[in-house]
Amino acid sequence: MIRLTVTNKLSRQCEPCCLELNERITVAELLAVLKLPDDREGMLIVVNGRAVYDDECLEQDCAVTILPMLCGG
Amino acid sequence: MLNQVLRVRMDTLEASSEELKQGYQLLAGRALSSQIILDEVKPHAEPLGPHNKLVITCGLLAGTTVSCANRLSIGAKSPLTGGIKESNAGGIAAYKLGRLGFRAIVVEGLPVNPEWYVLVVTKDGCQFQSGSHLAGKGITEKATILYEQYGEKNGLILIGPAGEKRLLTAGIANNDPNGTPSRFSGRGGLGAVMGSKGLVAIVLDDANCSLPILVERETFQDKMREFHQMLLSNPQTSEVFPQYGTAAMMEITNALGGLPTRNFTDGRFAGADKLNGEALHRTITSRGGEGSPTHGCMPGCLIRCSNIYPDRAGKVLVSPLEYETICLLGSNLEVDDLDAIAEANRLCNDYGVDTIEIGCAIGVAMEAGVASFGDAKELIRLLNEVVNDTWLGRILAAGCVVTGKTLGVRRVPAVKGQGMPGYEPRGIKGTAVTYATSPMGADHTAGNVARANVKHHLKDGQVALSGNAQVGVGMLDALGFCMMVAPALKDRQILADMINARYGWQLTAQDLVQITRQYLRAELEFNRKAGFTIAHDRLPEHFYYEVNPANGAVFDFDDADWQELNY
Repeated sequence: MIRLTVTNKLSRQCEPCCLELNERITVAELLAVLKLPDDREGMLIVVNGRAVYDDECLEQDCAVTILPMLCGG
Repeated sequence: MLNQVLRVRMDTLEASSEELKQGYQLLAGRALSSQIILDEVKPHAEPLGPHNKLVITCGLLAGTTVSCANRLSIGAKSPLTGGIKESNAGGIAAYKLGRLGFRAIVVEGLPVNPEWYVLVVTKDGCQFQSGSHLAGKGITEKATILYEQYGEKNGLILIGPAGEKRLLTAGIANNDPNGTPSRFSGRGGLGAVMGSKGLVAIVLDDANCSLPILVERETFQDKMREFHQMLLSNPQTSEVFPQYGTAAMMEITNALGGLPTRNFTDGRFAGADKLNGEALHRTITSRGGEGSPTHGCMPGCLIRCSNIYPDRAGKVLVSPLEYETICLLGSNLEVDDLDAIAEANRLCNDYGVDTIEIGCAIGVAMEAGVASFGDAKELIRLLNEVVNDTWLGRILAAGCVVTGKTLGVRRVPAVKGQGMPGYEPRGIKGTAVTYATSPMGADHTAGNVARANVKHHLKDGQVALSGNAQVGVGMLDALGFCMMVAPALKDRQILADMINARYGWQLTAQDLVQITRQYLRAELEFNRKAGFTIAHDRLPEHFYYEVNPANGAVFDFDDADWQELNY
């Protein structure tokens, strides 16, 4: 098992949470567990400060941040 | 109805109003400025010479209180790129233009005598007045004097000392609803074009102007409400941008390996947490006083992504402090001190230079060893060199290409002579495709794809993404909308519906796309006639073989890839 600290920044209302999940869980599987709003296009998944994509596996304890995708600065 | 063009001749000091030409009726914003430039400016015109024209336009909904619809668009042949240029900003000037009924001001010719002028535009006509008492003064002081002379409610379009000196980094400022003259059409050296014309300021006085005519008033109000509801129900436009401002982008670009760092040699900055949206919000709110993490730069703006950054005593230091500035004067220089960046921003605003271009130039100078990366005091020292008009300051204020050539630096992050904004090209490749191919040069506002849910460090699909983004944002530019509405805009027809209700037209969203494609082709045509070829549609060579350490990517496109782009 691996331990994930998940911070969801999609909304101000979301509190950080901790999860224990199987090793080698994919980002897509993690998103299914988190039951996020159905707007995959509108979010970026960041693990330990690095963007990850749906087909990537999480292999060790990590900090997951879910960011809203923005149109620019 | 918003259908007049104010033509201003600086050689004879005459100004006259005329109706929009046949074929221009549907054009506004960037579409109108670019079409006028294509039709009226010789492609080989010297940018600072008598045959260039400065074209100031507003959008089709200017003068109304539709949120985010009052961008001011300024175009000319650029002294920085040598090609066609448009740069737009918020502020109140476009709203005033709309109220006055002018969809464009076209400034032509050069003054016979080397004097400074202020153009005052009112409901009853225009006047040229002396601007000599403003010469040499910073933008803040200029605005204060103009408010005392002409009233505090006017729209102002003005240049700083940089524009007067015709420096290539000179931008054009206009004022926000609080009276702060810090909304910049910063890119491309357009301030130098205004300076070359002897025009130090334009005052837009809309006193006694009647309310805008709305052909279908009820429909207009309904559609406006619908549009506003879109903005208020989208998390990005209703929560993230109002709370953290554009600086919220930094957490995204840093995670993507797309945050310009150390003169664009890296895409991830260790000090980003001290600069990002949360750090900015925390700093502003903890200091209180005159600071505010949210602020609307245009009349009626609901997104309010601007801010007012206070110093430690709670007094206004600068407004706004934006993502691009924090990147180019921060991470790109490895400076992680928001106060230093804000002070640098203040110096740039008052002198009237583009923070992106200056940041690129200072990055190049730091690579040359003129100062050390990460040294905030050196950043301020170099900006004071600019403000004090030393020879080193002049070099920096000529932009990153001139700085690189002068100081013998090979890594110069520029395309078509213009420095890159806050998206590292190997980290966010689609935006870099825009840098390479847009007639604007390296310009994120010409088509930023950072929001797309793709692997940004890979090549696949990036050209198509860039093409779509160039058309998408080009449409907003043509209508006078702020690009920040994009995440909330599920259906472009709402834009057409509001325009139709104002003018009694029957445009579709597809018509808007066609208008956009048409003017993008006009921009390319101007550049082609000015001498640009596919050889100009490239990034500097080092991006093709030096790896971005943040993601292991190089920029792996060649000329043939652009065939997929089709406006």
